Amino acid sequence: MVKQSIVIVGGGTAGWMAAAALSNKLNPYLYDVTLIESEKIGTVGVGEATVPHLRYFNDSLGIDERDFIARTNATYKLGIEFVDWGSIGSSYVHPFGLFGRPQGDISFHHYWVKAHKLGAALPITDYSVGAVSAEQEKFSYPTDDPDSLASKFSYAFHIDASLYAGYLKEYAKSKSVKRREGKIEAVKTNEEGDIESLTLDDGTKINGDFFVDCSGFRSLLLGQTLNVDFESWAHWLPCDRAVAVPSERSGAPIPYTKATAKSAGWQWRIPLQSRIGNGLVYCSKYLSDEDAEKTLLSGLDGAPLADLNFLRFRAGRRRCSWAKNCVAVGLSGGFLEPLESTSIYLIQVAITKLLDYFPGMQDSSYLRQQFNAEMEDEYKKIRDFLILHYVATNRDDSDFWRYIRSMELPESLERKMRLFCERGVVEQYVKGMFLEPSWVAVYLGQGIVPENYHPAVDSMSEDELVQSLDRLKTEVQHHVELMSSHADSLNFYASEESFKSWPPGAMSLYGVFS
Amino acid sequence: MSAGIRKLVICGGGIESYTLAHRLKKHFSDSLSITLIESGNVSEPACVSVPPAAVNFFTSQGVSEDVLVGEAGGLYRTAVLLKSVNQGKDFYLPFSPPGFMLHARDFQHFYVWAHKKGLAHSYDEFSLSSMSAKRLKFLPASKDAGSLLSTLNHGYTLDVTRLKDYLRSKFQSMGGSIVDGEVSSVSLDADGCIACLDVHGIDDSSVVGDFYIDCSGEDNSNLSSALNASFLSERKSLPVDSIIRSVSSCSGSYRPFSSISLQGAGYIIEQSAQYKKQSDFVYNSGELSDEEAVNLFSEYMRTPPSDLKKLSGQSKRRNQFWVKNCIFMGASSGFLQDPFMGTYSLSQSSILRFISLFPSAKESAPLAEEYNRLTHLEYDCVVDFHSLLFRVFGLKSANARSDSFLGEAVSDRLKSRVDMFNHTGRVPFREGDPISQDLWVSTLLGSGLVPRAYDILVEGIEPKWIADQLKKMFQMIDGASAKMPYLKDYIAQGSAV
Ligand SMILES: Cc1cc2nc3c(=O)[nH]c(=O)nc-3n(C[C@H](O)[C@H](O)[C@H](O)COP(=O)(O)OP(=O)(O)OC[C@H]3O[C@@H](n4cnc5c(N)ncnc54)[C@H](O)[C@@H]3O)c2cc1C
Ligand SMILES: Cc1cc2nc3c(=O)[nH]c(=O)nc-3n(C[C@H](O)[C@H](O)[C@H](O)COP(=O)(O)OP(=O)(O)OC[C@H]3O[C@@H](n4cnc5c(N)ncnc54)[C@H](O)[C@@H]3O)c2cc1C
Repeated sequence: MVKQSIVIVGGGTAGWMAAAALSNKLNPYLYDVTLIESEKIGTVGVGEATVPHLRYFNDSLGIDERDFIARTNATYKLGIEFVDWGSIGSSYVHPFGLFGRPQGDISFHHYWVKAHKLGAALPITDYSVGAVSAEQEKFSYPTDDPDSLASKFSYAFHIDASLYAGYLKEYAKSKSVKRREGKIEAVKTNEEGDIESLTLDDGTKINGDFFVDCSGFRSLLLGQTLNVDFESWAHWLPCDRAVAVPSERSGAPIPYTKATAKSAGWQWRIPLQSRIGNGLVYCSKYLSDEDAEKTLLSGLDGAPLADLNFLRFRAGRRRCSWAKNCVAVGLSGGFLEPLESTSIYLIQVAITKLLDYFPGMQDSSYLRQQFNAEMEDEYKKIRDFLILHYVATNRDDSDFWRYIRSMELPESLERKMRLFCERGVVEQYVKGMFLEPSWVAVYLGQGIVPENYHPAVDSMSEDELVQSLDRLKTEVQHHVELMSSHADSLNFYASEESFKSWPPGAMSLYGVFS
Repeated sequence: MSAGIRKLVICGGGIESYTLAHRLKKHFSDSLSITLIESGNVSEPACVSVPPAAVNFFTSQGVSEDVLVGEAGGLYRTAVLLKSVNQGKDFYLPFSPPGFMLHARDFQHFYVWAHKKGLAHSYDEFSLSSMSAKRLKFLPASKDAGSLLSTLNHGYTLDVTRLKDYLRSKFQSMGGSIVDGEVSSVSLDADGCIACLDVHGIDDSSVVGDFYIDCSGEDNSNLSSALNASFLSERKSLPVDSIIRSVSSCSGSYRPFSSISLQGAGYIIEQSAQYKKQSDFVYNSGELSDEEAVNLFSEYMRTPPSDLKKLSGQSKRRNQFWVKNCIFMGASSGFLQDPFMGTYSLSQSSILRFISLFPSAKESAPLAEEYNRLTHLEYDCVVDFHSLLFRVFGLKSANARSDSFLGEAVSDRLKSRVDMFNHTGRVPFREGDPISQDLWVSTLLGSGLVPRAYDILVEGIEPKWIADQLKKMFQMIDGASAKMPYLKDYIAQGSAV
């Protein structure tokens, strides 16, 4: 096999994640990996909250989780607290984990719905170790005992994204990835339309056999050069701007992200070890930049530590992520707004799939077709879940929320919602993110309680039902009582001597055992 | 109960009916009353074979292996033998996937890589369940995750009459009621839902329910005509329509597999439980007259033609499986031929689906729509898989190329799947597919379709190391399967304990 050269364009989170994973998997005698980035352009500079699947990514690179936490200034993330979404004044935690315990084939939420209708249920989050430990600002690793509720949650991190990129840069360079500084000024394609070479601002020409476009919103190769259309989903996810600013830490970091709905968007609060990341995501049609700035600054709980970073985006994706000899990874392939922090997950999925379907033998059009179909599916599943957050509400206190009320939904989401409203059924699928517990968290957290629950619930008497919920609550509290505070756990786990004490990552559900 | 399905009526008294009835009783105890109507004219099969998914199904229903393989006379099954499928060679389609991943890449790619370099072993020789099946040996999966034996998987060949009797008596002892007689007419209510069934029996009666399951078998029942339920033909994909059956008693030599072999314009399925052996010749009546078929079959079976039973076997499925307040299950939901994923196996997954979507009022459009959508997804995959098996058999020459491999009459879904395999060495995942990707790959490789490409990352690994790994794998699997007990002895031991 002739040596192939792979060129990664862009050195943001996407670029360095791709470089690290490719250099880890590809034989350096057969592949050269080069990454080009431009300090003049810089990176998008946001993206601090993750989902548990990142732990699997790190595991597969052989990264020590404690080292990762120390190097990226990370805190643990057990979920997201949503404030003012279902209605003003309401809030709930969407944990990375399950609620209660299923009875045979019947999920816990059916039992909860019946108890709720009898007026005998606490919020469903009270039956989840993940949610209660988040609320109480506690943390410990989940156990591996499948019968214990303490094994039914998982965790992710809040990270300093630029530190993570730097960490992976070090990793990738140690695996012989070459880094080039320079701004790409021209892209040359051959008669077949494949990308052949890139020219940098200093005149250097860089040839490649295969290109990974990690150039961010610009989508330099896939969008600008190969002209792959952008499919806008802005009519469903109308927020198109964000303004971000870090602020001083006040008190110990909490183990969850906070997302507060506002009159024309929502505001995030992401606790890191040394500071807090904040941002307001909004719809420019309903809120001016000046008002956005005011809203953001008035919602900080510490002094701002930097200038405001204004960002513009469109929700949607390129019609395909892989065209010709180029795969887009990261923002260059699409962006669905940061609500459930899925962007780094989508980067990870694209990289994993690229390695699964790595081109080079004969005609790669079949690999491409499969890769694109799977990425499209991933995007659409996340899209529906994000839209749900906006539509599962009775808010109509602004033009923004009134627009949301009037908009037509994707058919796939309508079907899902009909099923849930009718009988608490969550559409089942195996591939893609956000499975039953997440849907349940948002539906019930935002006030959509199904008309009916599963009839098998009625084979348990009302007394038994109430007692079993009570026992569950006690069980959950018991587990949470045994946990240390989040701050103590951060210190404790970091100082542990043993080689690997953290639980293994996985790509299933929340990357937990259950 | 919220609004209320309090009373459920099952029409039919076959294996499907009792499996469902027992399952629902387990689930709902006394909060659901179940009435089952059975007519005496039973023409049920002697054996049905089910894949590994059935293990969980029965366990969660509280039917243990001691029952299935003990008093109910079933046998363990770890593979399906495809007789003389590729250049005259037999292939054992395994229930546990062949080989192991290397460097986190799937085994199949290393196999194809090695095959192209002249590896002599066939794909199934890397599967512990194929190798043990071939040697008539059996062990269940070991619980020790580190052991090679933990990769084993099994399904069963069940003795229909015995299992049905068992489920029937359980159902009765749990308070289920059984009505003897034949459903003679169906009354609808103002919404077009079934209001009651009139039963013609010793005493004529009328059975009223909130919800109905039609398990009345192949013949178009009066429930389906009352609801105007229709079928979609699958003849194009599954071009066989007639069946002749022979059932004999079985003595001693237990086989942990079922088998399929090509004969003329059809194929013969043989499956045996402990006491009975059933052989079915499934063929296309357009190409083979009934008389020719009988001759061919009796010659093969060495049975007098008089002992054969003729059945109809049109390939079809329901347009909608759930209509109003009625679901069609079992043979009444359609017939997709049964070389691998049988009708009974499909009903097991329909039963689970029905339970998860169990309605809380007699009519529910969203639930019915979801049930139909999911059932069709699953049936699509099974049609494709069986359709593939037919093509595999229809093809006697080696070195098949996917273009000519499939012929004309297959779905675009199947074409694109096989194309994908041929050009990438991978079978894409499909949501709702009851057949694992491993089984698809085994079937394709076993039938002689060696893909043009495999995972390119294999090229980055030291060739000698791969060759050594494959050799070791083969030796381990060969050695371990040789040491396993014979199925016969395993069963004898079990019943002695
Ligand atoms: C408001 C907001 C909040 C977000 N919050 C989250 C979150 O909480 N969690 C999450 O997972 N994700 C989040 N994201 C997404 C996340 O920020 C991105 O997915 C992530 O940073 C990856 O970006 P990227 O590497 O694709 O692009 P960028 O960071 O933009 O990197 C692009 C790279 O390409 C280089 N480049 C571009 N053009 C050229 C050129 N011509 N020549 C040379 N180099 C070039 C740049 O220099 C840079 O290195 C958020 C995004 C936004 C907008
Ligand atoms: C060749 C062949 C091989 C097969 N191999 C397998 C296999 O390996 N694995 C597998 O899973 N499946 C297999 N099957 C399918 C399996 O045999 C059928 O799924 C199963 O027998 C169908 O059972 P049933 O209960 O739906 O119908 P039946 O067994 O036909 O039972 C129908 C019942 O309904 C009653 N009934 C009918 N009409 C009325 C009425 N009007 N009123 C009251 N009662 C009524 C009948 O008396 C009978 O009791 C195979 C089938 C064939 C043809």
